[in-house]
Amino acid sequence: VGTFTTGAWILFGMLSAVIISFSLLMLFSRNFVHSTAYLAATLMAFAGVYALLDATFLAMLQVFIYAGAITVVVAFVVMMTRTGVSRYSELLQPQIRGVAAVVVLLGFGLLNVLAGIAPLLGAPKPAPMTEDIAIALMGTHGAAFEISSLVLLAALIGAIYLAKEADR
Amino acid sequence: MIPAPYFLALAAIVFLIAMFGFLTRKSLIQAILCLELMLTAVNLTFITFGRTVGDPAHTGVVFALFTMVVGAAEIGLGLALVLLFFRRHANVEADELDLLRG
Repeated sequence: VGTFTTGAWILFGMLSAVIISFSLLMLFSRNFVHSTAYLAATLMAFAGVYALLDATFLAMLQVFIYAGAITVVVAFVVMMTRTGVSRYSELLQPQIRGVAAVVVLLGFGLLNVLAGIAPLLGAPKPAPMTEDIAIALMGTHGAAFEISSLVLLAALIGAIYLAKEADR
Repeated sequence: MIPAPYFLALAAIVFLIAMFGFLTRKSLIQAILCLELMLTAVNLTFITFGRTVGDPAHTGVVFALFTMVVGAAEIGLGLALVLLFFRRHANVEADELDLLRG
């Protein structure tokens, strides 16, 4: 058990380093294609973190949906818009200090909340298996499950409508 | 398992980075990418709490699933809007959205 815990810590450290550095790279890259690739790497690392939390089903979905489908869709839009590189060097924007101040303030607030709830969090409970998630999804959360399919349908129709507008 | 506060701290850091990006990026595509990253960070929080609370209905994981659904819907609509915007302005910079400027 001890070696496994050490391995988990090393893995967590590596994944955190990848997530934080790649999300910063995504932020400060002016090339959209690079940004998309960095986002894909960040989302893959998130799948690893989910696996560390024993949420294997969600880790798989994360790879399929976020790292796979969404990244590909964004890459297609980058190709279709043919702009490639942002015109602006955002770090020179005048409002950046205000935004940074807001983000730092929110960070302190989150740190405060974290310090407050950390002692209240007990030992981890056993992680739900995929079967348990399916039963909960179809039972307790059945109504929300049905509504979420309507949300997807509405988004699909809306996206087609918006994207086709120029042809009318 | 690694103690839950570490996962929550990681989620908070990524959320703040993505929020900073969302508020400072001028290109709509990068703003949408930052939005996705914010959603993912919140997902990590849901899963961590789901693991520590141990709700019999597994609300943490199910919430994360619904967040993924909303994220997928959002990226589809958002990118359709970006395409529409590109057809009208021939670029994807948010600074072009100045119709309501006084």
